[in-house]
Amino acid sequence: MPEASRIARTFASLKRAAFMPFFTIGDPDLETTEALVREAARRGADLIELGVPFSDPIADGPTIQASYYRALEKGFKVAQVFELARKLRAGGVTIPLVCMVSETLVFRRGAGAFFKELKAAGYDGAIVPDLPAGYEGDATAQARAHGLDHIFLCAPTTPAERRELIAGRGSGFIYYISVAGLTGARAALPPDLEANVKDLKARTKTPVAVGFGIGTPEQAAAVGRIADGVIVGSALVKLAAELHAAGRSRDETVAEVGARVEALARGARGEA
Amino acid sequence: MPNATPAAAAQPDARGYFGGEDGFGGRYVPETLMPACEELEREYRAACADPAFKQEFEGLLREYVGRPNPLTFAARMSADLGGARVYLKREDLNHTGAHKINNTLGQALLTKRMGKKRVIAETGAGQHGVATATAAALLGFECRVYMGAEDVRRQALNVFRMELLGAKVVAVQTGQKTLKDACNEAMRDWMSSVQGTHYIIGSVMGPHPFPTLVRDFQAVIGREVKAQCQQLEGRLPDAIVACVGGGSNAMGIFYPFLGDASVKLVGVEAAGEGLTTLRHAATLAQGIPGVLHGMKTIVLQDNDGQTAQVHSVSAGLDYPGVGPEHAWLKATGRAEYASVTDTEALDAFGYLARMEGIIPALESAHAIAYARKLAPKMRKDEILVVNLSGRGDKDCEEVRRLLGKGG
Repeated sequence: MPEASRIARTFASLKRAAFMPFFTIGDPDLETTEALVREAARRGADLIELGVPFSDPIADGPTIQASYYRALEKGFKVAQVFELARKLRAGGVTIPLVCMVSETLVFRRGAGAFFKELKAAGYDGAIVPDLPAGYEGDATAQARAHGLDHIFLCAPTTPAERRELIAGRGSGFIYYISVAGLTGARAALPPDLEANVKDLKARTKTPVAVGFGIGTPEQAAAVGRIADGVIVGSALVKLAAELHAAGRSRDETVAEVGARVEALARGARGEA
Repeated sequence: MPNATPAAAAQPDARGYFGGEDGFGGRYVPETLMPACEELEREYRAACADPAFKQEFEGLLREYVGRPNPLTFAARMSADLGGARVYLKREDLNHTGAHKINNTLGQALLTKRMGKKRVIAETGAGQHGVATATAAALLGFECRVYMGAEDVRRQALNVFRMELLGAKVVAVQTGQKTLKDACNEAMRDWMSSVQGTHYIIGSVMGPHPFPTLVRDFQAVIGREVKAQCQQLEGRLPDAIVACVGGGSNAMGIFYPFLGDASVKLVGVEAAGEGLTTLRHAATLAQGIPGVLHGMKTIVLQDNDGQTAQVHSVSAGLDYPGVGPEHAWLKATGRAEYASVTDTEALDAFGYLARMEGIIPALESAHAIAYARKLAPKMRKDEILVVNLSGRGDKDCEEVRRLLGKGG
């Protein structure tokens, strides 16, 4: 058995749900993303997801899509994905970093080359949302060969036989999508969430983290009671974008987003 | 790869790859959509095995679309070009004015089988949107069509037609505001609505099984050509030319001829302002293998994999990808792919109007433009069939503007 990954060790060491914020790489610029990750790590994030801007995202909601377009307009290049992790690791960030990236961008470099470079830069895992179980080819093997966790997604629409398939794939954690829809903060959690997460957890020892539609500490707390991890993306990306658009300085933006991260992390930990 | 037989290329493998996993196709969609793709595949298989489905579909093609449409001998064009005998397959005479209706009726019947009551579609030129809105009206479905804001401007008349037919048209303001962005938005709608909604994809593209089922619904074009050419000329054509954006009219006319090695198949892409500029949509000419809109295919993209900006005077060809079976047919050499510029297509638009009294869609004008180059190189006893995939009424306003003849 290979040594447990940093992601696996993180989940194993927590006696509570992990809090996992998401940021878009390069929105509004790479320096701000770096500062946001540092601040989030300092204020209670257990793992960070970093989204790679793509010209034609189909799995993301309008908030994340808009952040991708903003980053691309500012000249985002895939090389910055690696540059960011190198800087974070050099600067002493030690929590797991997970890269969320479209198959289009992975395929261009080849899964082996892409994952090798991710690992070398300091990432611990990769989520490829448009590479569903059954179509991953040798991507999981490539990830494993390079010491990276390949994380699969599961949706409310996923039937039992596919849940079983997904439960047996990948490593690190399983990303359960809370609603059959797009990423983006919503008012209420779906009623079938608890039963679906329980069902998935009964099929696998891999931790199950829940994302899509979580925006408040109360929602984070509710999800934290039933899942191993709580993922918040759109709410934080939107807040950072609004602060930036309102002309706030990088420090002010980072501090305010950091405060939101702390509130959400407390929620996820059951301290809200 | 190049020595694979056409027969081997005719059906994708179980996971939707033409030419195996190293070929093209597949199903690259978010997990949320996987069950919908699987359901569609099951339902399509069941429909294929159900004589009642075939009967209903063929009945609609006959009584509602007006099929078979003619294979028209283009006498003056043939004489003018001085080579092959040129025939036009008249998809422009279908109800709604293009080949798109063949597919939308097929998929609307599948929607009914699946018990869904709402359909969505993407559209470029608006022909697929109109055809989807038409099928939705006929079967009583709610309908929403996503269209790039730039295309809404270019194809204002089709927007009005869709609205008349009861559809809601959403102008997509993201990205380049053209067809690929409309595809993105339609996919996003489907992510949120998948349980009660069917996404009627308009071309031989997207995740498996769409490329196969759209091709099969469009293959009626090629089957009719085969029978009509036999009747008129007593033999098969020597060459078939069709325009390619996503590639559904081309796939529909090519497919029944894949096993007839003597029939040369030529797809014509949009070279826009020229292949040496960055303003074109000639995917197969200059693209590289990539993943877009749920399929592995040839894509125009940069070194990172970000989709390239594309351009064509024709909204229906303005797309940075191509159906995976075309990518495979090119790789095997069974079909060849050429391209013509905006200027050549605009010339051909007026040429066909003057020579034959037929105003072609700007998309189809690309095929006409290439036929003008090919026919003179063919012998006088050879037969060239051009797929006239749609009529040009929708384009008159835009062409008038481009030619500087209108305010």
